[in-house]
Amino acid sequence: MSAELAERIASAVLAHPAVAMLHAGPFGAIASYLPGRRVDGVKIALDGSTVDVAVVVDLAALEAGRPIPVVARQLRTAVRELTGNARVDVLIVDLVQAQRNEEDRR
Amino acid sequence: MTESAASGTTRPAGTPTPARLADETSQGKTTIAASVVQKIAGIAAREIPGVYSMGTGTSRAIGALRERIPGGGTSSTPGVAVEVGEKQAAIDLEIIVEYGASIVELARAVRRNVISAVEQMTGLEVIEVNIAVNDINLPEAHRSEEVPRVE
Repeated sequence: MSAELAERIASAVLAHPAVAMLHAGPFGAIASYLPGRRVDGVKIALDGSTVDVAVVVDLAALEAGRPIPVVARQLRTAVRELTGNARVDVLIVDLVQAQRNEEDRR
Repeated sequence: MTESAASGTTRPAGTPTPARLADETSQGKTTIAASVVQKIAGIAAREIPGVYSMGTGTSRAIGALRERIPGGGTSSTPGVAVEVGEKQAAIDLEIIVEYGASIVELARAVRRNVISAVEQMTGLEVIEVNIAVNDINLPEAHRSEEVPRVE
């Protein structure tokens, strides 16, 4: 797997309006270790068959009628556009009430 | 008082069934951490007027202890305990009510709001919401051991 794939997945996931941030998971186990940097919240299996994504979601987006199953499905679709047929496991680590980038979204 | 109700009987007729979590199969699964369900349930419970506060001294002490254990789950939401499976969730709430509220009506409203918030936002089926009313806040009881948030 190319080293940049993890970063491309990370930016695709972060682009979703309901995603507040990526998170390395309860034990910091969901992360990609690249030369000189680390991408939290994205883990690609050695054979590329499975991608784990761990995110913190924004409560405001959920209340705006975007339930977690919908968010997960949209993230899965976005990641599969980059990885092809890989299985994408989505972990919702936490929930925040911060209104991130409210101006940016408009 | 602890009464529980299966969500199937409490959901008003005509409410669309929320998106279910367990839809995905070969494309990958979605996992929701317990703290997510905890926060949603805590916020939904506090939305009901008449809920003065949540938790007890004991549950807060245990929560502070649990936060130090890695993987023990954060208990940033006092008074809310959840069990989350792949498709279902069970929720236990400890609430402190305001004096002058009908506790039966209050518990019913809290349960309804918590069930609809959790089911709509997470897609998990809430199988039960157990509510324990642990204390009542009297209007003149502000100088008790409970430090009020607002003077």
